[in-house]
Amino acid sequence: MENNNSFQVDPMGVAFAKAMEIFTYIGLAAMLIPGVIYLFGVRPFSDVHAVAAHWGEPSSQFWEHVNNMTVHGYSWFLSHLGYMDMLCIGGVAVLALVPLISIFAALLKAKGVYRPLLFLLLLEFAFAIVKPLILGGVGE
Amino acid sequence: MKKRERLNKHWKVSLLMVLAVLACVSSIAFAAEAAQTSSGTAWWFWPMCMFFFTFTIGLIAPVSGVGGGVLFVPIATAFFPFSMDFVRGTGLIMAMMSAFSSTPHLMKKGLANLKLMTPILIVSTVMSIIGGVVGLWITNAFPLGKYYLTIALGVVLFIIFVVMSKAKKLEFPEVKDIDPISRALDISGAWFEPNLNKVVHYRTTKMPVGLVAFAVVGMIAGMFGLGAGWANVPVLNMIMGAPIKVATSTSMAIITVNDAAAAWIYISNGALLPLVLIPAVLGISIGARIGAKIAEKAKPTFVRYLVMIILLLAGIIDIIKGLGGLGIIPKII
Repeated sequence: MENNNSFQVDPMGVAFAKAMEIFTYIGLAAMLIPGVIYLFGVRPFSDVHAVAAHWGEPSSQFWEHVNNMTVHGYSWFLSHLGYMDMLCIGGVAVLALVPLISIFAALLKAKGVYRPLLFLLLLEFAFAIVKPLILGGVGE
Repeated sequence: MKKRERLNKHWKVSLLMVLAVLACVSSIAFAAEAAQTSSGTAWWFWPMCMFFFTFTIGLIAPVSGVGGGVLFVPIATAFFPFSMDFVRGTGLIMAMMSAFSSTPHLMKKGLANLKLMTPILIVSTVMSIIGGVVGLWITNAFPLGKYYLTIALGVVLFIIFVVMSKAKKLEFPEVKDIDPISRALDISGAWFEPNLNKVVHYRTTKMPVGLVAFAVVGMIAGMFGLGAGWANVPVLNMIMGAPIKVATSTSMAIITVNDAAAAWIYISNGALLPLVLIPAVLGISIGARIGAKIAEKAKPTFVRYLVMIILLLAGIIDIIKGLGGLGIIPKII
């Protein structure tokens, strides 16, 4: 540790922080607003009574018993975004995209070795998103 | 007069903490009792319990320094009727949300360090994804898989308990030799420390050891849907020599990426239910706002011990539950 009263916050970090702040608000609104509306019984895809009867089952069995569908990738909620509970899951997806956007914002400000490193991190994160589409669902 | 005011404040804070503990204990007891007659309860009963439960966690978490996910997953697994898939999915989103809320502020202040977290994230993100895949695969592919996972969670809680009880916090660790990776990446930073009224500059070291540790932590975090703050902080602080404030802040920033990467596994497997998720997120968000104010005044040591006892009890319950499910011991929970 050394003491010196001048310092500048890393511009990469500032870009990361600003992007995260803005998109978290957007994702939070996208998740909570339809989610709360669903709790009041407006346009549900899954009936709340059926959900309560099966919520003790593993996720794959749950969706088969409640909505008679097999869950793979993201089409299970993307194709039903007209319903409040599925729109809420869409909001969670927006939130889960926030670090990707933030890393991209930091990459734009990065210099030297951090450019390839952040690009690698971006690729890893993008792979985490597309993996279920390439390799299919887990445990189905 | 001032002493009296301070005493009054102390009593108010203590009273709030006691109420929080009572709320937690009563909601758990209420939940445990109702679990036996879950078929006879209204659909909103458990979501309502979830709200009060996560509200209580929100009150406790900022004071204890433990992420909400670490408290949420073990207790909800032990006492609520939801599948472990939904509990882990919800726990992960809760941990992610709380990290998203605090990271921007910490990074702008210079406390969370993007240079430090980038190499760590490259390793831990992969392991977190693998952990999420393995966790869901075990519960779905094996009929008794959820019981093995419940036992493993109990064991992890014991480890967290040991880490929390042994870990020492080094406010400004002395960094003498800098390893070649840290030097090549020029990992350093600075922040204004109001307690010292000056800017503190720092460097970190032992990146190779740190990377191995973060690989293990990332795997566990992804598998159980736990936030990994309990392990990130000791590694960054005690091994890599980051000052404690930098370690806690950078840990929070690491969690944002780790948890979001693992969240896609849960989303793609339908392991999220708005009926569980929304009350949980609302509860912890409201609770954490009040908890942050209590944290400024409360004595953290008492709460820290309380959290450790809760984790230990939840660990024991998870192991008993898992062993009971496997038929190794009589089913008592």
